[in-house]
Amino acid sequence: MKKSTKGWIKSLFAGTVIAAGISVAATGALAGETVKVGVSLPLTGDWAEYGDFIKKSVNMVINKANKDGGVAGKKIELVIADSRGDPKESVLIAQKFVGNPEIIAEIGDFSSSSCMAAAPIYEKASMAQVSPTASHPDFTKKGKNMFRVIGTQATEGPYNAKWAVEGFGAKTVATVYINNDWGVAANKYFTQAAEKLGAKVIAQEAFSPGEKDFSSVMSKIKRLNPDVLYLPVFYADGAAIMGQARRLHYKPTVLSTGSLYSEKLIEQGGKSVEGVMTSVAYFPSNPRPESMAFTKEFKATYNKTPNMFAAVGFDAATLVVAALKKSGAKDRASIGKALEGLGGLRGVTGDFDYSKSHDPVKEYAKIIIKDGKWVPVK
Amino acid sequence: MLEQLINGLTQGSVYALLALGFTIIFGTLRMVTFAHGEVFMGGAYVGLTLFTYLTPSLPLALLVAAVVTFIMGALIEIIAFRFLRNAPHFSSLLVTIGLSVILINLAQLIFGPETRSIPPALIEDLAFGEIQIFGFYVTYLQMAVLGVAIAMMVATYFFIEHTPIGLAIRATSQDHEAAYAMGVNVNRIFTLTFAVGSMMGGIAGVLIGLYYNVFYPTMGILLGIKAFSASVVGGLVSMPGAIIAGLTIGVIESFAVDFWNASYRHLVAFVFMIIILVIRPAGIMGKSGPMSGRGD
Amino acid sequence: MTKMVKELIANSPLIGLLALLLVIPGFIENQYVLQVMIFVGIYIVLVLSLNLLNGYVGLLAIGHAAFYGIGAYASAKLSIELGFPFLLSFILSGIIAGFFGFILGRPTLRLTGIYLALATLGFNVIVWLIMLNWMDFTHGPLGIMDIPQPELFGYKIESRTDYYYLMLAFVVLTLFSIHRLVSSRFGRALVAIREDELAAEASGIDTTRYKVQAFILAAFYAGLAGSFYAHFVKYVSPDSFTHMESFSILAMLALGGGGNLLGPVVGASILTVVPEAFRFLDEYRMFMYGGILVVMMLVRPMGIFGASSYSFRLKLFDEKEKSYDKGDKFIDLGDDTGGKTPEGSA
Repeated sequence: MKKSTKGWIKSLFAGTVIAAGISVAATGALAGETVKVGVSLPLTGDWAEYGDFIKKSVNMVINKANKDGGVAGKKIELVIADSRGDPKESVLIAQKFVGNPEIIAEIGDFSSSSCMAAAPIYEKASMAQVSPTASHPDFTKKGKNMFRVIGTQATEGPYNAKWAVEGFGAKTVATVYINNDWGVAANKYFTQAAEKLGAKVIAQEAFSPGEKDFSSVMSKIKRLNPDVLYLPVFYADGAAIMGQARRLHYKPTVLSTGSLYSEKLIEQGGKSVEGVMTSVAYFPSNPRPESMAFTKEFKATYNKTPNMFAAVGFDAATLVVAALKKSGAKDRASIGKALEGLGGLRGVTGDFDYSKSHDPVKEYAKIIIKDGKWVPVK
Repeated sequence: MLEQLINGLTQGSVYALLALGFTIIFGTLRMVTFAHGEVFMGGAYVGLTLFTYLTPSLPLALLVAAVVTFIMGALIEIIAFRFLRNAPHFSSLLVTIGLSVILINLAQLIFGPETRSIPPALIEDLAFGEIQIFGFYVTYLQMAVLGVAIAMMVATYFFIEHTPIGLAIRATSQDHEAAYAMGVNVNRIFTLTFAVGSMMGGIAGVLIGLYYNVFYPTMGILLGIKAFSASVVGGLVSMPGAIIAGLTIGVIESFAVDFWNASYRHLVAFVFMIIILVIRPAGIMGKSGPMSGRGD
Repeated sequence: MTKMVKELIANSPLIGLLALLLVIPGFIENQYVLQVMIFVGIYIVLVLSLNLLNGYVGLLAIGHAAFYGIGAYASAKLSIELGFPFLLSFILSGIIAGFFGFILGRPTLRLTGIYLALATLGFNVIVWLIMLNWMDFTHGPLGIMDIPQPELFGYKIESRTDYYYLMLAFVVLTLFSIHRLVSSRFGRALVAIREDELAAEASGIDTTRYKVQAFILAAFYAGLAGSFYAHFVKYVSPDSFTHMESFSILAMLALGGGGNLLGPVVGASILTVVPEAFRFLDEYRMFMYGGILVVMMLVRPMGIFGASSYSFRLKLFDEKEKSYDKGDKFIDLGDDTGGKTPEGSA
């Protein structure tokens, strides 16, 4: 008898704990004259720093929009969630956003894999998922409510391959790329295009996220001595790679993607990163008026120089605000349609016309680090 | 190829230093900590802060990091192990996992989530000043990494083998109960050993942080479990074993990158570890070594 | 008759809970809550399976996400490339994971305590690295997408409510089968091995065989959970099966307490629901998680229900309580052969 009483208490306790937990999880939000936008980004873990830049930009745009009177008489409220760069977390967050009827659009996630994992949930709820950074070509094929701000790998890769092979006359190329969904795609589209153009790909070296020892891999590249080294990596890794190459007395011709563009690269890399070239859709000294205005505003707000991640975050938020305004912020399904109807919205990283395709066409500028500054390639 | 050997030895000496910290801790407490990588990260951030905001002096950074991580280690020991001396080992393990999560997020809060660097100009001489050996370049920092690692190993060896406290540590590591009976304050020895082991992790943090000049909150995770495997390969209780295993793994990794592909390099350490565990659990050095402490 | 009534009353909390769980989807409009509950279910199965090793046999396995991942990938591959129906790939992925359990369990069997822990951790990292790098087979970091939704006897599992019931059935079946297992001769043998391996062997228990079997079973259930996960999220990538995930599962077991069936259920529920509930804390959320672990372990080192059904205590120090005690035999460290059991020490 004693045992069963104990069992009773245990079961009761277990039940209460579960129930209490769930009710906490389920507490709804306050009602009011607001319209909510979900933001799903990695705010902790390996990708936190990039998520943070995007978050800053998004906050800036929304605050400004609210100051200017909001959309359709309503204030925009952000519901920010940390996905830690784990697709499973993104799925959970997606379901949470979709389950909250007040949230009518979503900005995020960061990685293509996260976005694609969450896509079916958003698609089913007709909620627009506007990803600043998902560059995998398949992302926008996951549904008619998937939008991206950044250019796809399928356009950026060949662009850079052409630059390498035709611009530099490279006969041999090598790549060192980060082994995540983005890096793999970046490497694939570049090497495919380079081979098609007649160059020989002599090494494709992936490194695990979190890796900081590149001396062995750079020794190898040095020995193989390719005409052009393609580096689809993030700037934090870029500085380490170039620093370690310099220690080996190796000075390759380096091309990269917009991910490498950052003031931080110069801050961290110093002399080692001199001569590094990238193609970018955004850089601060870009004469494009939207870019200049954004750079100024971001610097004034956060006392930091923005980078590519901040720029696409800004555009994502701007697009969502514009769509909210256009649609009257009534329901979810109208946001996707409004985004398609924005026709040529001028953003920081280019013009956005989603009417035919949800993959924006980017114009890339070529920039190079010269005397510790990013300047356009002549 | 000699270049790969130097790369491997530098990387390996870091594994060795971290593994040594593990080995000292395990050798005495018979417990493992999953917060070692985060102590390492703490040491690295101390280096970053001093170099950037105070003065770019390597000895000072090493000294301060040693003190800070010594205290960190002592605190971790008290929280995760002393409080739980009568609890299952499992609980201590979990507390160290919890502490590592807290430390990572604390670092993110204090230093921001972004990867940070010491302004390159401040460490230009240290990181890129170099001498030539047999036609190969070795930077001052590379030499410092190797030199400090070797000095630490030697110092620890003498500390354990030739000081009264070292004697107490050895006695404790061989038999907790007997040491207690002989009047050794076992609790204090545990905390001290843990602190010393953590200190080595912290020093490794400064060295590696400077060497790569990248600092980020999650920097200790991969290295932490890597050091584990080096420690296991070395036999978990043998100091020379940890050193040899660390260096060996570093060198094999470098060559693996060259002959195979960079992405598979991490497999080396773990495959090596499992093979050693299966065929020779006592590690490559067997039972010998000053910390073997197996009661034999 | 009265006996039956008595049994019914004794079991009424369980029956009540089950009834509540059965009707609950009718009252929950928010699909997200259901989704969280489904994840609770997945973790309950994972923790229960890990409990076989850590709680019942007293082995310290800390790489459970490896089997979870193997099950998930196996199921994804089987149903996409070979077009197997859900139930078949579900069972097969359990068997495949079980096979890997055998592969890991058999050679590492002589290891005890921390040596086994590190071997399982290493195995986890190796599996993760292979998922990450074997592009042709696993698609590397891109993961495997568009895993078909389960179909059971012609009925398509589609809504969260469908999944919820599937999950509930899965959890109940797991609980029931594991309960049968541990209360059988098999379970008693496991506990005997945990309490005193030498004595168990002396009394005729084939410890090697039982340990390997426990390993295979634990991997099998974890593989099933992986398969369910794959068909539920419809997407698998290496990120979900790192050693940090293993630590999460371990934390759930530690929090709830091992060696019984209630602890894993409660532990998995708390550590899945609480981080969800505190999602609004953004960057501070992981502090909470770490904090819960540390505080809970300090307050109840055996976990919430751990100490009640059996003691983890180290018999070496049992008679004479002293302040320096290491305290447990949960992890067996103190033999002379680098973690081998005495048979290997010759």
